[in-house]
Amino acid sequence: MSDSAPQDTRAGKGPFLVVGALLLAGLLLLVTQSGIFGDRQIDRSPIGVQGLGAWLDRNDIAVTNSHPRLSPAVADLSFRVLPLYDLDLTGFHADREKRDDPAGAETLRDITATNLRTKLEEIPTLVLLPKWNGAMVETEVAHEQSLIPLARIERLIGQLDISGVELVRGVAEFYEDNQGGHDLALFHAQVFNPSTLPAQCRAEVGYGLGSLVVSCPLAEASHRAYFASDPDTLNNHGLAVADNAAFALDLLADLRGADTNPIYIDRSPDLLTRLDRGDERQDYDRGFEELERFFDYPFTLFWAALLIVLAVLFWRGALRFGPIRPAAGQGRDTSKRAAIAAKARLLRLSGNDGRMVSDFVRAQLQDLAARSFGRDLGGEAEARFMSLLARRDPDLARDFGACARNLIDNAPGMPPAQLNRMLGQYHSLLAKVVEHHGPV
Amino acid sequence: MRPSRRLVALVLALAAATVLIGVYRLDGGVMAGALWAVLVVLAICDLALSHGAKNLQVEADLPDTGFVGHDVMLGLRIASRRRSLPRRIELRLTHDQRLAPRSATWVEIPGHGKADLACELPVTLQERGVGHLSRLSMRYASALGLFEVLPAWPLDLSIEIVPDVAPVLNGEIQSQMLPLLDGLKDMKLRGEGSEFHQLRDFQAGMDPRSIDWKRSARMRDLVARETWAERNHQIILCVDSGQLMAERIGKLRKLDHAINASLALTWAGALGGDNVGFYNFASRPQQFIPPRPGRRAFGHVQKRSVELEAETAETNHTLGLTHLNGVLTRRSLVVVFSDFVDSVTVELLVENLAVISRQHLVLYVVLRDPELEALIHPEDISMGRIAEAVSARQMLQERQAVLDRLRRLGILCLDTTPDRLTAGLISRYIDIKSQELI
Repeated sequence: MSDSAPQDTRAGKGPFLVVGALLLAGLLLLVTQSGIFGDRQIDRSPIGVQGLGAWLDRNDIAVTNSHPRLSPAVADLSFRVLPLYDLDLTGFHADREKRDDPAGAETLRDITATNLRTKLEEIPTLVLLPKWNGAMVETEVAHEQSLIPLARIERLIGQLDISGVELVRGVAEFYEDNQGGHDLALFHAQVFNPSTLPAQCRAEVGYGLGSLVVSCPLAEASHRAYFASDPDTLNNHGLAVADNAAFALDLLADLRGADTNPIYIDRSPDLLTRLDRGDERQDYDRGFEELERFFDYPFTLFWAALLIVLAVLFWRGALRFGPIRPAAGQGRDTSKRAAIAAKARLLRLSGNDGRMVSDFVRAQLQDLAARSFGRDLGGEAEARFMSLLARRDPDLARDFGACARNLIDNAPGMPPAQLNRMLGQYHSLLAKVVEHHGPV
Repeated sequence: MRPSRRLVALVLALAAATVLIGVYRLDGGVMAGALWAVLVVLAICDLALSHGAKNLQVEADLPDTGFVGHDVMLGLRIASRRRSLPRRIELRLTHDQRLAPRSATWVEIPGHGKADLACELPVTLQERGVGHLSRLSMRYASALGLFEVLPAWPLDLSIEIVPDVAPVLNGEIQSQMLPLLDGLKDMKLRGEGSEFHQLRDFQAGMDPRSIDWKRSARMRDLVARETWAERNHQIILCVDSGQLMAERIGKLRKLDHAINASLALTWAGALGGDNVGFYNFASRPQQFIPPRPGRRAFGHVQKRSVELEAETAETNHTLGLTHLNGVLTRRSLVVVFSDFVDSVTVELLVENLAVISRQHLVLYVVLRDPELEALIHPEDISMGRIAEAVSARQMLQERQAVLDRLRRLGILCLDTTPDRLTAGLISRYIDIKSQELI
């Protein structure tokens, strides 16, 4: 017993190790497939907006951060902050670019035009245009080489509601401007050219000679969409500079207006918000009135006719004339027939119809010969019978003999159509032979 | 009573009309109700005009005994107390498996207005034992044909079904045995009948070889010897009652055919002066009735054969035939009624018959199935029929090969159809007697 105990213990660990390994593999798979790490890396980077949520929360402004498994109701939110990391809303390039050159990747998170349109129409939204590429995420250093060319960003603008607006970018230094009593400092400041704004859009916040935030009306919504030209106004990197953080508080407070619902920091390209359509539901009072309609005219006639038919049929079916008929085709009486039928079926399935016909005709000739000369004639049976038949009817003997010999010799190689034709001919000739000679 | 097909058709037609009325008329309830009311009135009139089942009276009569395989007539007398009988009635019988009446028999009443009818229904006796008729069901149409009236009467009639000894009773066996009994047959056949019977004057036309020259010289006239067949031979009827003998050929099972032929041969043996015994076996050896002379043997064999039933187990030929070989002390004619499926399973049967044939004369009787013969020569030639014909022929060829093998071993074989079994068996017995093979 003492020897066996440790062995049992070791043996008992095996299943746990297997279960543990499977659990780890499952968790690993879950994490890698869900892309949690990749997304969070951007949000924590200088160009992310994770710090904005914390900053607003610290200043008693209600905030809701997007979460892949939570779906806040749209009605419970006041304003959305949506950073864009995609330069082409019609394609998916993020995975390929990050895989090929993580530092040079310009598209860091793909979002579809449909999703962006929906997000804009749900609640008032401030869209932060892209400015920095993947090098900012990787090195966390703001360098001229990390900037996305303006032409590429303007192509993105062409896909938004501010199509045609041009961007202007400052030199490699912090440019400070006082906005609402706060010193706003931006490195390589990126602003809209106000002269290129469409007529329906208006500048909300100016910066130097350009516009930092503009707003445009939406065709499908009553509110406006806001676009910030420089994401450094609100991202992790920009909030830490000068009075940018205080400016961000004032900016968001102004844009959301009197609505005190939480601001939604939307870091996901997916539609995670829930649109409650409770007002569209119509509850009906379900009473017996609907059911009663099935018993009004003309349904009463239909039901009455149906009941009468059922009653008459049931009456007829309920009374049997005589005893129950015994089941046929069972028992020992039919076993031999069943065996023959099964064997015949196997013969057909084997696909040797021609050979089968050949045997059949040969056997019938032997039977005819046996009726005339008795059994045990050996190989001469057919010849002797044919000579006997020839003495009575030479023409019939010639035709019948040729047909039978053809089937015996060539049936295995005949196509089915020819085989059936020859069989029909043989059958008619056999009928004449039997008429002359007597039954087989 | 139940609605007839005519009434069902009317109801379905009215239902369809009702649906159409409901669809196309806003106030069609009265119209639909009127249609149904007409049908109800028709049905009530039909019931009032029809023959009531309570007015009918039925008497039935069935013979006490019948031979298996034969038809007996169930006598029926149907009378109506008030009105005349319906013009056409249909009858059905509730029965057990030993009986097989026709499933439904129409009885036309000759001359409308008759209140009394006597008729006979044929009932086939399928199996030995006691057959029961428990119920008579009748069906006739109402006056307008809207209803089928279904009266029924309990019958409680029984018939004892015994082996078929009709050939014995009607003298068929005796007439077949006459040549042997008179000694005429063995006078004509060479080498048969060695037992001296008498001397008689030689007549022209008699076989010269029958002249007894020594006595002719003594009497100075030609005298011929007259002989007859030897008597007091021993015949054993050996009947296999295993599962294969339960197969039905024609009206009867193989076992019934074998028992009928056995009884005929017993009677023939009694007429021929031989002693007849009976033995049957299946999975195990069963009763052995020692050979007895005359008609006493017939009574014993008849009594035993009435009780004989086919088993569901396979026959053990080795055990059965070895046991028989052990109890037989004198050379006998052993007539074996048995069957086999194929050439493989028959090996033990052949082996044991060969052992018995060393001391006894064995006649192996096997029944040929006419339906199998019909399969070999199909009426119409299609591939399916040809496949069945080839398959059936293979089965028959295997069977023929086994019988040829038995013949080569010196065993006599009788392979015949059920309708020729009794006559063929008696004929073969006469041949064996006249050729003194025993």
